[in-house]
Amino acid sequence: MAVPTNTDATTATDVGTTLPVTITQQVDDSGTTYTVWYKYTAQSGDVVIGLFPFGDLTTYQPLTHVYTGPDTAPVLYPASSPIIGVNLPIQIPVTAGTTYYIRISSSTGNVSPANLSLLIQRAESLAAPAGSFFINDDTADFPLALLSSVDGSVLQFRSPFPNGESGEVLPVTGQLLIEDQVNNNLVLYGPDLSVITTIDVSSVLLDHAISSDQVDTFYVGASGDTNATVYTFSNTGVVGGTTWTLPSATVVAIAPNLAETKLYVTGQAGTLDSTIKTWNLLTNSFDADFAAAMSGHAAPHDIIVLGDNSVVVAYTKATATKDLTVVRYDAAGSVLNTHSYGSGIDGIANRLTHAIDDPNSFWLWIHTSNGVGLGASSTFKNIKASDFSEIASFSAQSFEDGVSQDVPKVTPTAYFGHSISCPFLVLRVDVVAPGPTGTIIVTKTTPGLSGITTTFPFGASGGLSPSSFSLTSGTSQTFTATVGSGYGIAETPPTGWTVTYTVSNGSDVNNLTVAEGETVTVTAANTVTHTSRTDPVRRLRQTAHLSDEQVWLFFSKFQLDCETGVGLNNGQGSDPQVMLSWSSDGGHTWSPEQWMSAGKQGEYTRRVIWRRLGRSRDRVWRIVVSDPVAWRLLTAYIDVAKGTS
Amino acid sequence: MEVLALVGPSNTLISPNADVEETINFYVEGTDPGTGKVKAYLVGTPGLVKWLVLPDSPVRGLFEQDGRAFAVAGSSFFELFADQSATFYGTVAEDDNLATFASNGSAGHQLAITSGGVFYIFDLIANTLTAVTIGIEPVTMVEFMDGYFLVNKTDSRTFAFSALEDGTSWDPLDVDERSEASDNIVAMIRSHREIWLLGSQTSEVWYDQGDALNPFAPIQGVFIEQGCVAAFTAQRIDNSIMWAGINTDGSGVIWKANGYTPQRVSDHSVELGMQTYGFAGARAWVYQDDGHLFYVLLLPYAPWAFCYDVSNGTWTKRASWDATHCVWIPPRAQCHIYAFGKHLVGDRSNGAIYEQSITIYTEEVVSA
Repeated sequence: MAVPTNTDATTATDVGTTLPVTITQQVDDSGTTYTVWYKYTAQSGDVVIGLFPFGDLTTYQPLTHVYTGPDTAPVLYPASSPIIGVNLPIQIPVTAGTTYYIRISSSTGNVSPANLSLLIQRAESLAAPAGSFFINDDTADFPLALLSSVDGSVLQFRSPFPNGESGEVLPVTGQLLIEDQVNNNLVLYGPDLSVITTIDVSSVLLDHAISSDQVDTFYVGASGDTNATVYTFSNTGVVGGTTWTLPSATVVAIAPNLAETKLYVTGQAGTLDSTIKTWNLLTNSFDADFAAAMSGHAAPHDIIVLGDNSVVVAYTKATATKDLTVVRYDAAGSVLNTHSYGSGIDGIANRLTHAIDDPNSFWLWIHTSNGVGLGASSTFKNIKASDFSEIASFSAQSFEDGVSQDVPKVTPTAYFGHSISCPFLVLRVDVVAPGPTGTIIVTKTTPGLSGITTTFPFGASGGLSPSSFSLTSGTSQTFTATVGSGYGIAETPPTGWTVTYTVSNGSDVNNLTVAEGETVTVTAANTVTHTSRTDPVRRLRQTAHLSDEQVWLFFSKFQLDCETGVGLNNGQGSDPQVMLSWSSDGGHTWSPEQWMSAGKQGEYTRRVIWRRLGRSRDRVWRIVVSDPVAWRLLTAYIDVAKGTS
Repeated sequence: MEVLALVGPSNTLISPNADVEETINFYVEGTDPGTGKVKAYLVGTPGLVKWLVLPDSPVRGLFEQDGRAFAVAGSSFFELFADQSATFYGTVAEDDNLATFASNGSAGHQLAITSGGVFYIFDLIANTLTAVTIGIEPVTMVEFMDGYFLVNKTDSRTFAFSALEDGTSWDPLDVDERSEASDNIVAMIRSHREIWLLGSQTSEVWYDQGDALNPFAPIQGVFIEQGCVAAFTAQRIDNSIMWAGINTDGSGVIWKANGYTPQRVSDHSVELGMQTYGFAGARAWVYQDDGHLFYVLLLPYAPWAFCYDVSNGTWTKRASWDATHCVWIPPRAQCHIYAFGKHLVGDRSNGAIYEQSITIYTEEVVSA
């Protein structure tokens, strides 16, 4: 045996770029079991990478941590929920170009033999047809999973995606409203998962309660110190004018009836009350309870209203047995169907959602294990409303914080899964598979001006997310873009600023093209809005009066002695002109100008002479020049004859 | 052939029949000490080329010391660099007045600024701008002398002085009032190691008497029966100061101190112009080119600036030409520094800073 050489991040073994790859290494030597490091640099198109480090389970059980650089001081990744797993598949969201360090230690101390196998593979990226499941992750930095509604397998991951506990999809038009619990925003998506808008709700605390009228309006519950408030948002993100204040600090689930006259509500802060209350949207007060509490059960997470106005609720018992019971009520609150799914149910995330093509069936998502932990998996059931018969049923492995909740296995098989989280929705249209991607980086500069604190708002089009953002000088925004064209970046310059764009690959800023693995930098340079023009400098000299006892003076010649021959090579100033005019009335009115050349370049002997200049009893001369040359006026000579009267 | 008296200053008198001499965008240069073909000739004034446009306007003040240059434009404070770039360091209060500057250099690494009635200290090492409360706000001007920053309170007889070499420390007791006359201080300007307090009718001069607790006192026997009509016309020039005067008899004379005695340097032509257009918003700036020391007086309502050449005592005019309306309009500049080996001037109506040079024969004009 030999001592491993990859015992820290700086000496980590690079697994290369070809996935999947399986690596084996004996990590013990002379009674010591070593911690070893590997690294992988994410490639274009990578969204989620799967890691499966495993040993024989009886002696060596590898414990895995993931880090990002620098290799001299690696940082646990993701920062919000570092991934740690023992002999279990791990999935990590990745960013192309970033290097991830995989630290594998022995969870069982110094054991021998310690034979490590490490399988690394890339998550699939498949089209998600209408009807696929949409399961978001409430763990910051973890992506959205789109699951097959046939077998629960992951079709594709989407990243970045806001992390949240709640969401809703409109069944007709397909828009999705998703809670972003990290930024306390609501993000509205089109049916193809393109961002329509981000709604800032940072002034209220989102309550994980989002529902809809199933036509065009979302209902969102928000907490307060003593009251909860319900808001509405249109399918374009416009906030509704009416809000309702409920005498309860929190709401766990809300759902309006189809006529939008009442809202079914669960949730009382700090209680296990599973009562379904009825909030009258017209009178702004509680009506009689819709359904009495089911003893010992927690407030349900989901209430769904079906096409016949019946109401389906999944009750989970707040005891170790976690009994799950699903009940369907008519609009008056009378029980139509009820079914018990027995005990052994995870109480955290039993969820309901509508089915895509049958307004009178629904999907139930169950965790069929004894809580979160080893062996946890999900079961998805499509249930017919009329008799609660099962149209479809299948199971899938689930992950929490990126770590599989399956039991540890010796077989080196990696797979991917959804989180034990929410929301659980059904897509209304096909979502294409993310293809290979490139990167678009928008960089803000103010050439020649630093320290500028002005905020410059931008819009991004062509499916880039976010669709609006702001930058200050020296900052940038990075987008991951599917290979292709049609992307656009447009700044709305604040008053007083003008923007010019430079695109690193020469494409049009309104129709950016991105190739696989390419980083396209859009530099939006702002300068102070101004125009400038270059004027000639007009120069004037006006002499003292020339008179002699106010008799007529006859002027036959005026000769200006000035620097001559100073004309420019070309353009204005190549033949500099002197404009002479005069006043014969003491400086009150002036003759037309008479122009004379002061000599082109090199005409140093040029004489500047005007002749036949009339008569005056009082004469003031005016010299005006404006050509852009070096004007130096020395003196002037005149031929003048004095009259007799 | 007769020789015509072509070369001369502006001298447009109240009676055009007496004299209508006008000299715009030329200045007079003598040929002595040589034996020139003529005793004096006219030289074209410098042109302008755009140097930098700041994102705030107008340019309300420029300052340079020891290789670092600064500007206040609108409500923004910038450092300027030789490569025609600038760094924004913070906002300042803004009014129609100019900003004023003074620095204690390497003794305290501070640049003091007054702007919009507020006093600021810019730390020249940390590059941070901080508003400092003196206790006599609003203030008009700051000067530096003998380790103290001095700041005068607007429309009062009061001025305050800082702790030694520290413009962030102001003792409420370190406040003086001019006492030899009762009129308010309009402008405060240091000349040599003396502080001139130009009042609204009279003026007095204070000096550092060396008393650590009460360093400043009026110079005995010095009292000037002439005040200042517009604060920002007061400028150091030619080892002296010049300002636009006013007293109980009237206003509109440009004075230059000869020792402690003001000497009238304006002529009737200039005084007629000043009385015609008024002193509201008047400001002056000073520069030296080829040995000509110019005092440029900008009156916002006059179509030109009046320009005094200390080297030969002549007044000429500076103006831009509005080719559309065929009229003279005031020149662009309202403040000046000599920095990076260049004359830089700040635009009176936008954020442009221009390089001014006698080798530039055109005027590049920025419009916001």
